Amino acid sequence: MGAHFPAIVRAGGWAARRTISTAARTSQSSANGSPSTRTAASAAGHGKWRRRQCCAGPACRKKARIGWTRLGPEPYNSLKSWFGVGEKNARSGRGQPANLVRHRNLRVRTLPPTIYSGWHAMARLHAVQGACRVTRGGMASRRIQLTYNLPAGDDFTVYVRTGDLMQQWGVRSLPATIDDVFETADAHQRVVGRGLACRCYRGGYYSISIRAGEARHRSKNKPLTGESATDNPLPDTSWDLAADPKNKSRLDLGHVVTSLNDTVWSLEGHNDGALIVFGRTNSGKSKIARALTAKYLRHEASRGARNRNVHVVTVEDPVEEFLRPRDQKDSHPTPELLATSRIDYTPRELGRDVRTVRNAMRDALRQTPDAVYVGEVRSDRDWRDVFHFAGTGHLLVATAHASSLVEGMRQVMRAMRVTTKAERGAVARRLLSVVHLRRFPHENYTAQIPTVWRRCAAAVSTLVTEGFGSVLPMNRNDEDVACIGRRWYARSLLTAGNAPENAKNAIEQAALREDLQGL
Amino acid sequence: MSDVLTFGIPTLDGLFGAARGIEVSPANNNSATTTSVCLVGPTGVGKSIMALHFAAQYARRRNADAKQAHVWYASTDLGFDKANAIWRAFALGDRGRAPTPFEDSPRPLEKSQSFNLVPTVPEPGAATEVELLINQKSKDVIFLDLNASTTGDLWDYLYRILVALEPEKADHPNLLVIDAVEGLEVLAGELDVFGERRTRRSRITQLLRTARDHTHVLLVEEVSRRSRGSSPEQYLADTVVRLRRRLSSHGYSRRTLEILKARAQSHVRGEHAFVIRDGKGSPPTGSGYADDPQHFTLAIKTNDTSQAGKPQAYGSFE
Repeated sequence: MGAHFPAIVRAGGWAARRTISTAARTSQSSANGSPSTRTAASAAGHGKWRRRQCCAGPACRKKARIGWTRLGPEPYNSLKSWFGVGEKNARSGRGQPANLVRHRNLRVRTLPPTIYSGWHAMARLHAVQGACRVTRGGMASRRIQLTYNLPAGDDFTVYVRTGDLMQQWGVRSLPATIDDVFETADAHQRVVGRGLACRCYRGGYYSISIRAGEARHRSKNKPLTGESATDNPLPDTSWDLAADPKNKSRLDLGHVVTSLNDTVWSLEGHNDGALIVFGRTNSGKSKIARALTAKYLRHEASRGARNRNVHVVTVEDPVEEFLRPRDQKDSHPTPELLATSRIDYTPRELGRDVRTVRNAMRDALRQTPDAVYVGEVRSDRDWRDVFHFAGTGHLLVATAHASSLVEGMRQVMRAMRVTTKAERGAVARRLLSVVHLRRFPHENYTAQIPTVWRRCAAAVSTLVTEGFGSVLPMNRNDEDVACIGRRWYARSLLTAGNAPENAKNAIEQAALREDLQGL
Repeated sequence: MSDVLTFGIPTLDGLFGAARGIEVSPANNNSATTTSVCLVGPTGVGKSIMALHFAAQYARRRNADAKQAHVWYASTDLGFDKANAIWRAFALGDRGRAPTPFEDSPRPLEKSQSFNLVPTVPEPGAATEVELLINQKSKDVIFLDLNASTTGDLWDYLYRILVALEPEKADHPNLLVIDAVEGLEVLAGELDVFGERRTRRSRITQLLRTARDHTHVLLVEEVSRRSRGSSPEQYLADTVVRLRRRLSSHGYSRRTLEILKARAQSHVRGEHAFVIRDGKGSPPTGSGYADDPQHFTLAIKTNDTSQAGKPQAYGSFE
């Protein structure tokens, strides 16, 4: 073991050195005398902690056994996972006793390699199924080190199943995030990567997003699977909304998504910032936001020159709809099920996988996401965290409740504590689009008609100088139009949706009234 | 080919040089090119009468050319009854109006092409006929009585009216007359409906920018007699016509008119006296005025409100 995977040495930090085997760890601890010794000594003063210690260090009777397995032929399929043990504030020597993360009966489940091809799929699908014990010591981070034989320059996600011990130890005892610098190595060259492991899938998995390798090692314009990604487009997912021509009682949301997809994205081609879908409850905002996210992911996947799968991180409370292949009936997908969709998916549930939106946004910055979906931003603090992330150059799709388009934008500005025009401009530049949905019932027919504010050449400047008075719903969709009114959407959607003629006229009239009243 | 906007008053239009009206240059792109006109003057000098003439003349040319365009007259100080009285007195609906000499289409409108001043009132929160009037292709001049009801922020309401009136295809520019801008200012104050402090310059700028591609704007501004400074409307408008009332040493009041500014167009400078006649019209033969309605009988005024909005020409052409 040790011969193939030499001891991993962190590039710097508090944990000093890590080894793969227990024996190596013991020798290392005795060599520098710090981690395990301090761990045991600290733990000795806390009885409840000690009872939960299982096997590490001289105070434990059992010995941790780190298992690993070679997967497939060299050099591609070797994956070794090791959950490290760390001490909180070991650098300063203060704080709680050391961590108690242990791994027992770690085993690697190997999936048929013939189904999958490419580095990313292999790394992702070789899910490590094992059990880990974690402490409830309030530790915000855990150390994870992965040694694998993959070329540098790839970004990918590994899903590690945590097992039943998660439930045994209770949700609250789980760490919120696991955040560390990874060291990756292959047989020939040691490269340093960065990554982040977080809990996802309702605590059932650790999603480990890894960026391996230094910049000079990164491959450029590497196709996803050795072939053009456009030849193999993403299959339909559960987030996609397809039009249902049989539905005669309501305007199909598929039409709404198609129309929004043509209007909400940036005309300059830089789809960074926040796309926020407002509406009341049961207005379809979450479905539409997810469908727009799926459209974006499909667009990104079709670009071809990528070095990893498209990656979407979701933060919801609770998870309303898991992303999975449309033909997959299981509502709770496993990462293996998503393998065929070529989407890296990290669903995080507030309260179970992550404590706050802020933590989720902070983690997302280490997960190389193509899009981040936040379901229902409720508090001002969450808005600030969301917009802090939206200013980092990523696409963020969020939903929230508001009675009108302007009210939604005011809600954002109020949460961001905007007091000056300059601050309003700074927030406005982080907005990609703002959508507000309203339901228009007429007799037996119902239609969800949106109105949109989008970032275009003059949108931000007029919003800065004239405030929300510049949000005027226009009846056209040209490049210079910042706000598209409900009247325009009603006309185009109801025509495409084959609405009854009387309903079409009445809803168009009502949409115009909403535009005139600024609702 | 450039378009020319006229007041329908030959002597006044003649002050704008060879174009005999306010010239609008053609656009380089497909969008319509619009212009802005500002009528400035103290109270009681005839600004609203001229603005109604301008609106009626625009509607007349639109109907004669069978173009689809809206003509809206938003009033904050002139009630519909008074406006309609002026409308009838000058036969602005074209019924009974004599053809204007030197005009491109000197023929009088057909009976079906005549038009009225149609009142409407903004009623927020309820289904109103404002939406109906926006949607339909009306041949009339819509009189938006902002005195009768308030929408909170009339500036914002007018912005929304402007963008709602915008046609999907720029066939022919609309015309919006705002009489008078001070009324909007008084109703809205310095804060807009969203609590944003807005200067009048900022609001006028937004109004003209919103209307730029699809609507001509005529702003009526009321200033005091001694006012000499340039208001934001005068600064931003392409054409500024100032009306004055001079008192002679004998106590005789005389109205004068001066074109202060006409961008990219020659015009006759100086003050020119003008007279607002009693509106009884001129006889069909003899020494009448070209822009007067022709009359055969004496005017009979009626209080019949059911006839509101219909032209009451002095003379019968039925």
